[in-house]
This record gives sequence, C-alpha cells and structure tokens, in this order.
Amino acid sequence: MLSFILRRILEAIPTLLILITISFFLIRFAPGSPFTTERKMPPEVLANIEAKYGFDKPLYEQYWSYISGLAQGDLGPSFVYKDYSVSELVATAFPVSLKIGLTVFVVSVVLGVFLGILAALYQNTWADYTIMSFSVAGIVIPSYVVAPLLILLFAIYLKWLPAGGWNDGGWQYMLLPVVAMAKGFTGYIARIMRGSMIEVLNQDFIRTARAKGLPTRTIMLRHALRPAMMPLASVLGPAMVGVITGSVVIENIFGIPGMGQLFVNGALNRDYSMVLGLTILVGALTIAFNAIVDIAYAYIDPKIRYS
Amino acid sequence: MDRITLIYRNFIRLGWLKDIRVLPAYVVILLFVSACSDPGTERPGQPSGKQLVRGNSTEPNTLDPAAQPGQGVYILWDMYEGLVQSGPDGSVQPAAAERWESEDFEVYTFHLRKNARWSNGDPVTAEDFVYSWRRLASPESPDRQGWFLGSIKVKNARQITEGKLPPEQLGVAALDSHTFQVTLEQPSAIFVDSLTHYALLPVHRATVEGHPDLWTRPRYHVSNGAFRLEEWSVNERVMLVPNEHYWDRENVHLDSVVFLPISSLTAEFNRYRAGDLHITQSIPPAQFDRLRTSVPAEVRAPLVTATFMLDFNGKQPPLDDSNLRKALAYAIDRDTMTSNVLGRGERPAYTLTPATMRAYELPDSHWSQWSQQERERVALRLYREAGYSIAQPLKLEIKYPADEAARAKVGAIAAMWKRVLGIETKLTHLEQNVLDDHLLRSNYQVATWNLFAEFNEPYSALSVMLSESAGPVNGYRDSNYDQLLAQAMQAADTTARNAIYLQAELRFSEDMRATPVYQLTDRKLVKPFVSGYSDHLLGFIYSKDLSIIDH
Repeated sequence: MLSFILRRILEAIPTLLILITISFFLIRFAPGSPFTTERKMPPEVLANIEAKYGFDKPLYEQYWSYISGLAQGDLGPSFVYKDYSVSELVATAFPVSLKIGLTVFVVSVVLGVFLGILAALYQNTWADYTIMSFSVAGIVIPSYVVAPLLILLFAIYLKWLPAGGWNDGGWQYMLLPVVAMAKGFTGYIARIMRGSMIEVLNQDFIRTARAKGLPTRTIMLRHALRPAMMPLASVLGPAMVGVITGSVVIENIFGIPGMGQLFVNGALNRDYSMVLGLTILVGALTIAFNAIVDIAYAYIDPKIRYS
Repeated sequence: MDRITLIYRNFIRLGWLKDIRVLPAYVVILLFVSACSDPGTERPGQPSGKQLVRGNSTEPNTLDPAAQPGQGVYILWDMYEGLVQSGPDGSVQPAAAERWESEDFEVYTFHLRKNARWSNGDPVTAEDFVYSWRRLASPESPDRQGWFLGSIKVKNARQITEGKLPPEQLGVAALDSHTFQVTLEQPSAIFVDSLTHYALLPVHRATVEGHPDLWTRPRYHVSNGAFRLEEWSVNERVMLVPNEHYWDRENVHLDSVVFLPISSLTAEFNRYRAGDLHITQSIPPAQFDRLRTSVPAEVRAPLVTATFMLDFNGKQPPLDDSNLRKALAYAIDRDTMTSNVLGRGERPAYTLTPATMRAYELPDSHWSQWSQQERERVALRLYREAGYSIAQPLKLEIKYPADEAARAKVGAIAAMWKRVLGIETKLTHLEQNVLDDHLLRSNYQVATWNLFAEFNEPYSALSVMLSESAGPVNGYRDSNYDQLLAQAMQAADTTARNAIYLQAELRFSEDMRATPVYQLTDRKLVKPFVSGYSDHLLGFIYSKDLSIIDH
C-alpha cells in the first residue's frame, strides 16, 4: 500500500508539470494582456509596464522564471488584484469554497445515497417515481434558474434569508447557495445509487441472504451497501474537486468570495499568474482525490488489492 | 513574515475545519435549525443604523490611488481627499486646499487647510503632496498613472516617467508645511479643473514606505478623507468608517459605508430589492422601463461625460478615405438610436466633447445641425463618390464587446448603414480584453469604445485624440489639432478657450477617424431614505455628502 501511494505521488509530478506547461503557453497565446484596459493608455506606457513584469523577454525565459519561482512556492503577484499575491488570494478564497463545497458534498451524499436506496427498494412504486422525478428535475434545471428563484422567494418575498453575501459563512448566508448547488448533485448521486443498488439486489449472494431469512435491514446494510457504493466512489473523487473549488454561477449570484470569482476574473482579465495558480491547485486536488478513490476501492472491493 | 501570518490567520478563522469528523452532525443540525427557526422580524444581511451600502460592480484592482484603480474610484474618493473636489455641476471646490492662486497660470500655489489630518492624527502637509506626486511620476512603477501628470503639463513629469530625470526634478515644492506649489511646463488655465482626477490623491508617506506591500490593508492603511478603511474582504466587501481626525468630521453623518463588488446586474438588483443595498452601480436594462414607471423616485439616469464612439481604422483601405468615414458617420440616425434602441435618457452625440460640458455653439454648417435626411443624402453622395453602390456594396466588420446591450446597438448601426447606403456589415463580438488588444494593434475596421472625460473641461475629452495619446491606433495624428489643444490650455479667457475647442472639434470632424454616437447615462437605483444624493456631471458620488434618514 505504501509503495502504491509513493508511486502515485511520483506520478503526479510529471502530470502536474505537463499541466502547468500547457496552461502557461495557452494563456499566453490568448489575445490581450493583463494590462490592456478600456481606458486608452499611451502605447509607450504600456510597453514600460510590460517590461516591468518581464513580458518583453522571450517566452521560454518567462516560462523558466515562472517554474523556478514555483519550485520555491511562489505563485507570483496577481495582476488584477494588485495589492495581493496569488497565494494570499487563494488562501482566503479556498476556505470559503471549501466550506460551501464540503457542506454541499455531505448533504448530497447523505441525501442522495438515502434516496437512491429508497428508490431501489421500492422500485417502480410511487416512491421510486417521486424520488426519480425530483432527481431528474434537480439535474436538468440549471442552478442559474433555481438560485434567483430561491432568492426571490426566501429573500425578497418572505424576507427570511439574505439575498446574498457571505459574512464569514453564517448559516443563513450558506443555506440558499448550498441548496442551489446540492440539488443537482443529490439527484445525480440518487440516480447512480438506485441503479447500482438494483443491480446488486438481483445478485445471487443477496438471494442467498434472503433465503437464509436475514431481515431486509441487515441485507441492505451488511451485504448490499458496500458493493452498491462502488460505482459511486469513482464519481465522488472528481465531483468532490468540482464542488470544493467553487461554482462560478453560484458565487456570482450570491456574491460569495470564493474560488469561482477568482477563476472568472483571472481568465477575463488575463491574470496569468492567477489562472496558473488555480490550475495547479485544481490539478493537484484532482490527482489527489483520484488517488484517494483508488485507495478507497481497495477497502470497498475485495477483488482489488495493491501490492 | 507579515504575509505568512496573514495567510495563517485566514486559515484559523475556519476553526471548525479542525473537527472535520463532526461535519455530518453539523450539517444535520444546520438543516434542523434552519427548518425550525422563527423567521422573526430582524432579517440577517440588512444594514443597520446609519450604514450606507453601495454597489461597486467589481472588486477594486487596488486601493492605491496612483495605480490604475479600475472600479475602485468611489472608494478612493471617500477615503482620500485631494487638493480640490468636484461639485455636482462639475465645478471645482476647495478640499484639502482651502484656496489657491496663480498669476501666470504657470506656477500655482495651494494653501492647505491647517486643520486637515490623516486618519492616524498626523497633519496633512504640503510635503505629503510632494511625496505623493513624485511617487506617481516615478518610473519604478509604470502601472501607476504617472502619464496623467505629463498630460496636465506638470514640469518634467514626462521625462521622469520615461526615466530620463529623477523624480526630485518634478515641478512640485513645499514652500512651507501648508503651502504646496506646482510649476508647469507651459501656462495652463485648466490646471485646477484637472486636479479632481483620482490619481492625484495623496498617500501617507510613513505608511507607504513602512509597509510597501501591505499599506493598503485595513491594518495599516492611513488616509486623509472623510472615511478610513476598516475592512477589506476580496470579492465580498470593502467597509469604511469615518476618519475621526477629518477636518469636517461633524458633517459626516454615516456610521459606515460598505461597498459590495457585485458584477451581475441582476444579483445587484435583487440585493437592492431585498434591502441589502442602498445605491446600485447600475440597473439591469430589461428592468429599466418598468422601474421608471413603478418607482420613478428611486431611478436615476443622469447624462454623464462619457460618449459611445465608433472608431474607424484609417490606417488601411477602405477606411483610409475620410469621405467614406464621413458617409458612415452621417448615415447613423442618432435620434432613432437614443429614443428607440436605447431609450434610457441617452442623448445623440456629434462631438467628442459631451454636449452637457460644451459651452459653445456649433456653426450651422456643421453636420450636427443638418436634418437627418440631409445627412443621409450627403452620406449617399460621399459613398458613391468613393466608388461603392448597391451593385457593389462596401463590406465592413464591426468589432464590439460581447454583451447583450452592445449587440442591440451595433445591430442598429449595421441596419442603418444597410438602409441608407446598402453596406453589408459583419458583427463580431469579442471579449473586452481581446477587443482592447485588437484596438491597440489597429487590428479592426470599425470598433466600439467609450470615451470618458475625466475632469470637467472639454480638454479632457479632446485630448484623447492627441498624437501623444491613443489617437494613433486609428491613425489620427494631426499637428494642427495638437497645436490647437495646446493653445486652448493656455487661453485664460473662457470664451477664447471655447472658440479654440470648437476649431479642434471642427478639425477632427473633417477627418472623422472616429465618430461619437451618443452620450451615456449613469443609471442607478437610490433608496428614498438616502438623503443628500445628487446627480453628478462626471459621476462622482461622495459618501460624505450622504446620510440615512429614519425610515
């Protein structure tokens, strides 16, 4: 197991390096620069600015200096948020996205798994149809439609909750964004869970368990749940990265100072170091969670062993 | 070291993370509490007492007035006080300087208020302005707006920003602790008007030098305006509280001002409707008409000194022909554009100077004075003379920023060109940053941009077309035009100055490298209980003039 983990870490380094290299050149080849502004500046001034940040040097030199900075843990200054470094901005925004993301993740997994099992147990009854209808509705109705409706209802008409803001993550401020983000994710998990559970329930070993006269509860918890979770486990890793790195739409609608806002502003304003910093973070998280899923498999599935 | 502690702090603020195992329980409790809790009367998120909440469209790039602040200007105007400030009609009013004089318009002497104080209690001195302006001009920081000092002709500013002279040579001096003197390269009668620009706001030397990277953070920040920085949470809010040492403290009525960077117009509108926000940055276009009839008292849409421009790239055929450019300019029916396409109070524009700033009459021979039929007749004649016809139409491409509102505008222009001249226009929308890049590289035929006058003088708008300015992107370089503006700057007499501005306008409209289309409005929603609010010609809104009345 230890050697497996070690190998995954060693594999991650070249993967990340390739990711960084591709992203570095891609964003540089995009037209525009962090310094093109709507306010018309004399071209000489612009040239001076570019020289200050080393943009007048050949691209490979800039690439090299970025990589060597990175090796020392320096993600560089932000060109858009001039008073902050990229590391600082990420350090403030990531915990916000993480807090919302983890809440969404836990709510969706608990609720989704529960609903999925329920739907599988009462397959083709009204309970199944109701759960699946809501799941599909949750998946297909985009959050940019649901979020404003939630605001309209709970903030503007009922006046129960704020229409946006973060306020250090008070629960009133988190409730609507979490609901808006979790609805699709929950539906998605419920559907996967229902499918795999139905498949497992038709297996021979479950039939054996039933024949032995075990109560349904024991069959579900002891025998069916673990194998039924397997398809879910492979989805949850990348999905986890997705939810904790922030949602552009939700953060924009609710005014939440998370990673999604940094992504959008970074990309639109050609904030090179910001875009690269975020790419590295998301890349590293994806690699890490995929590794965790692989390790988790070894525990869930007796057929898989890493030696 | 400071930075590391700061990052660390942000992490520990999330103390609950340490107990990640209890998270499921936490979520269940959270849901339970939210389901059971009584909605009550006090809704969270609602500002309390005398707190004013303003929309700010995007996060300020920086709170350093010398650097390009993007959307941070409202915050800067609240925190810092320049030598002068701008009144609602655009007139110059005393601020940190209580009076000033100049005999020859070349040397200006400003007498600072003796009782002006920084937020840490230090007196505001002439030395502070000397330091701030030198810092602005310094070539070490080219992303500051040092070029602005050069454009208003402060002595040696241009050579200093180019690195040819040391900042100490800048034409500024502290005669004594409260007398600040500026020497210009040439006499300028409009110098004081240009001082309302945000780049010229003073910074506190000891703080800037003591914490070079962190001085704009609430912990260290020191300012001399009516407010000081209390809290800055990136992408969430900037909160200001009154500067207790401000010389006019007794007339500051708010307890705090909060700026929310909300880029989505709909999100901002929702926050306004929910009562979280008192003054918006803008109004969603789709809501404008409805709001104007349902809550007319809350809707503000004054004309501001900004003009929507169509830029013609005169560097390459076919638009290197000034007659063809004129044909394109004349064929746009600006009345239809402002009343039918836009309809939010905009005004047709025919000159670089916004009509609300112009103090001279255009001659009857100027195209703005013709009827639209006449303009279209001339346009068709010029178009045919340039060798185009219905059988052989001109093909053009307009590049414009990718947003819904812009599409309607350029679509209307293309339709007008089609109707009057038969031109086939291709509309290409680009991300703003890409569009700016194409403009900078003259990679376009026709492109749109907004011309902002930054101080209340036609010079501010007209100077955009100077050879040393952005004019060269469309190929406009005219030494006569440059000379006219240099003369205007020196003309002490307003009437004489306006006569020169008029000549410059006429000269530019003979070339037509760009054509004004309409003057923009600054649309805002303002809650009825915000008192002291008045529309401003340049869009300056100082929070110190505002207060919240009981409601």
